[in-house]
Amino acid sequence: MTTHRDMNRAHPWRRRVMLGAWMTAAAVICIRAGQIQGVQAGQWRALAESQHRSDKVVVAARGSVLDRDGTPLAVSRERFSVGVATPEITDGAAVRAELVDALGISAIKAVQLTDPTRRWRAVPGRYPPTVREQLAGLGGVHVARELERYHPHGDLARGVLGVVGDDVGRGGVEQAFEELLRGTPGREVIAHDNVGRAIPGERLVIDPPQAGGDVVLTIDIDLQEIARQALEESIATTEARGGDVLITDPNTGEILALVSIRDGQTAALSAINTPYEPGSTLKPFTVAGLLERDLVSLYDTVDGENGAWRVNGRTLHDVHGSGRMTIADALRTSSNVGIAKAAQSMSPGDQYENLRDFGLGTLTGIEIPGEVSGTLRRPDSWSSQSAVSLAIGYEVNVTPLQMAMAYGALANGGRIMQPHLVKEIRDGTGALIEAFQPRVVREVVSADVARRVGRVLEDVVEDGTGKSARLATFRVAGKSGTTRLYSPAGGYEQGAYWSSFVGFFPADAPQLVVFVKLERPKGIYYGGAVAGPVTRATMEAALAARSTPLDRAALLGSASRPVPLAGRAIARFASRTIDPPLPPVDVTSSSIGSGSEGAAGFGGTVQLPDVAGLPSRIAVRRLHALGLRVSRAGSGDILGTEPQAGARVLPGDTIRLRVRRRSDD
Amino acid sequence: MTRMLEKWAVDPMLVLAVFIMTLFGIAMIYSAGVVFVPTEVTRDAWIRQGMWFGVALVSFIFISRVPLRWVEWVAVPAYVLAIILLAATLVVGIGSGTAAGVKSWIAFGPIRFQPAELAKIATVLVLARLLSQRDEPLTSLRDLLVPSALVGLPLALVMLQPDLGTAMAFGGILFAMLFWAGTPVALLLLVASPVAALILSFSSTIWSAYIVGVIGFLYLYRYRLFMFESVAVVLANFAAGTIATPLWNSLKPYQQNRILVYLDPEMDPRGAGYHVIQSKVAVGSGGLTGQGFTLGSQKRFDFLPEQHTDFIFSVVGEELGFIGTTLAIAGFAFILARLVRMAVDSPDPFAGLVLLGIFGTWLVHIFVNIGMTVGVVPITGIPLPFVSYGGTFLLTSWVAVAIAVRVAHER
Repeated sequence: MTTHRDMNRAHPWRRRVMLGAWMTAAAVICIRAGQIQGVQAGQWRALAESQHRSDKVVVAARGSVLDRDGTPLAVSRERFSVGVATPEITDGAAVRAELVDALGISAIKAVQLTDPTRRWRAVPGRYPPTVREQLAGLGGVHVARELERYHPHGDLARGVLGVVGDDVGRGGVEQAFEELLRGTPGREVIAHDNVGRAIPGERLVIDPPQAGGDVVLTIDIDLQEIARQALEESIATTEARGGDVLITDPNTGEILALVSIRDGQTAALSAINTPYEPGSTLKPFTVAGLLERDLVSLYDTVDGENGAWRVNGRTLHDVHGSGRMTIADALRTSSNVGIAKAAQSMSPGDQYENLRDFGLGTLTGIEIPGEVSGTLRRPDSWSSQSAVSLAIGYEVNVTPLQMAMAYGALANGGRIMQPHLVKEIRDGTGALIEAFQPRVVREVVSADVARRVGRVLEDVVEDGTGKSARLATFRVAGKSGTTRLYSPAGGYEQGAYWSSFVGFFPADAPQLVVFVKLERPKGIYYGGAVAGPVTRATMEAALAARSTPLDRAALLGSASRPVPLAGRAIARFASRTIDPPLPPVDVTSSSIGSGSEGAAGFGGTVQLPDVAGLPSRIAVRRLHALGLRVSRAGSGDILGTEPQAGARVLPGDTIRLRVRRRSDD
Repeated sequence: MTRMLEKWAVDPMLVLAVFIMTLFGIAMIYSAGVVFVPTEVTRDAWIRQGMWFGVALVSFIFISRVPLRWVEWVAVPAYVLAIILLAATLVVGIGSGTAAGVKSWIAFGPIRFQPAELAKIATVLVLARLLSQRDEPLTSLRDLLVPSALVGLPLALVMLQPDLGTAMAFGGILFAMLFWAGTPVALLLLVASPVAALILSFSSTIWSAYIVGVIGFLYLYRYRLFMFESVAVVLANFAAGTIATPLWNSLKPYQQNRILVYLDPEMDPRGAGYHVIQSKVAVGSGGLTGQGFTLGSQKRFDFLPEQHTDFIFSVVGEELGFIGTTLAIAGFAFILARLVRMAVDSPDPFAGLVLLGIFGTWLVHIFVNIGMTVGVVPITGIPLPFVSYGGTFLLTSWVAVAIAVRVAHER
């Protein structure tokens, strides 16, 4: 049949139907492709990116906290955690060998880590950056960077510094300067494949992290170390529950050392957060207030009532009763009766105003969190006893920091300074953001009044209740205080005392205020006997340690006795610092004054002690105590010194410490 | 020059287009191997494909020069051999690729091939012989019985593997060739109606309405049909509706999933819907111009399934974008249109039927493969001619080209 035999040409429409069918199919696909790749392209691309991209926060390196000379106290360092993805291992033996070599783990542990039945094993611990270099490119071994807070000086100034937990500062400077220290975290986008492996080279940094800024403290690491050592020793010998040592510069308000220890915890901050009744250490302010208001002169006399004065239904006692005495003597001998009587000439309003102006019972505004104000009640809520109590330091709660600042006013000519713990802050690049300048809060008394009270306080140390704080080389002004602890049940606790001593030196041109307080010392509890020696030991060590922020030139002018600077004072101090364990030290004033023999001799040279095996901070302090400069690297145990132990060196020489690098895990 | 080309390639336009598509395929297979964690198999796939291309070209040169009668003669033995091999596959077949559960491969030592590939060509040839030898046009369902049985046998064997995609290719062969042979469209619709009944049986309401429609159509068309044909169509439709449920239950769960997921890919995004969604993600993120050759991120990061073989077009979409997608489709359109043109130009009914048989095979392959990567067709493991990785498929496709140019050359 023709039509059929000629089928290829017979029906042109069949050709068109065939092509039309295909064209329809192709059009369906093309329209669909256009829909997916054109209209919906954005959605699909977003879905694709959500599958293979993830946003990651890049933690910025936390800034450092430095001491006033730039010595790091808290730094962030890179640590590396190591994980093993066993399915990615190609050469098990090589991986195991490298793990053993780089991480110092046992061969058995390495075998466990590369156990092929597990997909992922994390190696416990964190490792130094060298581990990354060694393990880089080893198939199946993944090294992740982490930042860790590190304290090169251990728990020194822990309370001031605070800690970092979960990348957030908690307490102290870490918390107060969280914003600055933390920096700005960056953001990056990484690509990963279907099973979650990050793709190298597909890392897109959107925002680079901005490193945190640095905080430079006013703290001097050497003074901090000295203060801590002195306080620890005193707590050990007096079996006190705790105590505080504050060293400040009266002229600037800078806090050079702040140590609080309670129940063996160095993280305590009782110097700013635990008020106490200052007792006799407050008497100079009462006297200064009277002098400032011209109500009495230092040479006016009062009747000492032989140590027992009945006033408003209560009897005041003095330890050593006496008859008539000058106001100066009343202060020197710490006569409760004398001071209380003298204070009668001040109105309650003036008395309140005077103590308030010395900054007692008010917040100082120190930079770190946790400060409490204490209490100074207003006259309208006083009892009939209050005026008498307040004159001799009772019925008022103050913090050690307030006391240090108030004594600073007596030392610096009458100015209450704003206390500073932070000298300056710097941004992540090291550029200065702000340097904090000394700031006068108020002039509480005239320079003349301050000087006159200061002179009486010198006598206190020379031949009054504060003799235990006497220095051989410089005149020291100070005042001791002993108060009974009030018990939570109300009233005072039997046999529990605060023993304190606040002093400044050199008396004629003060450079340091040293506040010392001990809580519940056992045995002898008088402030002069318990806290005074700590003040003296601290001052001596501060003089010996060359790096402490003392104006040496000014000191030479102040030296009252021509004794070699690093001679006697150091000798005495050195004899008391054998550690650990500490030998029992008698802390009565007589025995403290006696130890004058020691390493000094041979025309001013000293014999270099053997400090090998000691913790570095203790070794450093020993050498400081001999008037030597110390250079060291790191904070591990001491292997030895250069020159070697036993060599004769001159005070002022630099001794190099050989330190063993402590292993990092 | 043109004469030389014609002498060598017989139909230079078709051969050139197929040649370019094969090179394009090798390039895409190379790109599919550029991944974050390459394996030896995927990295070197393009080299093996290139070697198979060499084998295919040699086969092309020989086959395109054999006498036409050899081609006619070889049809029956090839068909018989293919049926035997397909039957054997059900016993000794092995799985591979997208669905390892489909036992569609036979291994002869190191060489593995799919008998279905041979069966497609053999069926085209044998059906072309049968239809071209008829003196009468195909006017009744009875006339379609033998041709349908010839295709239905391999189709059924392939369904038993079960390989739905290849079965659809046989359907394409049957309808394209019957249509070209002059079968009335209404007749073809009646042949296809049980398939529709099968599909529509998921809802008894729709199915009932459909049956009413079919009966109505038969009534209007009654003058062209024998009574028994009408009855057969209705019975077939009823049968299809009846066996739908047991047939559905006999499907492997992954096959059921593929169909359900086609209707709603989000139903099982991590499981059966994964292929569809990931393919669309890749194609869609290619946008207008694509991410660039070898640079597709979903492909590189191992999110694309079967990117060398069945989902090679997802790589095309992601890396070359809408422009690449449409150009590739245009390439295939040219090849298919060329086959139809050659059929029209050929005075020989056998040649025309062979060309249309090849046309039908490739149309199904192209539409189903690309359609599934963009989500308009359910996922069936069916490769894209000349582009997907696979040696025997490339070889048989080129054999089909050789046969096409050989039969078309006979003037």
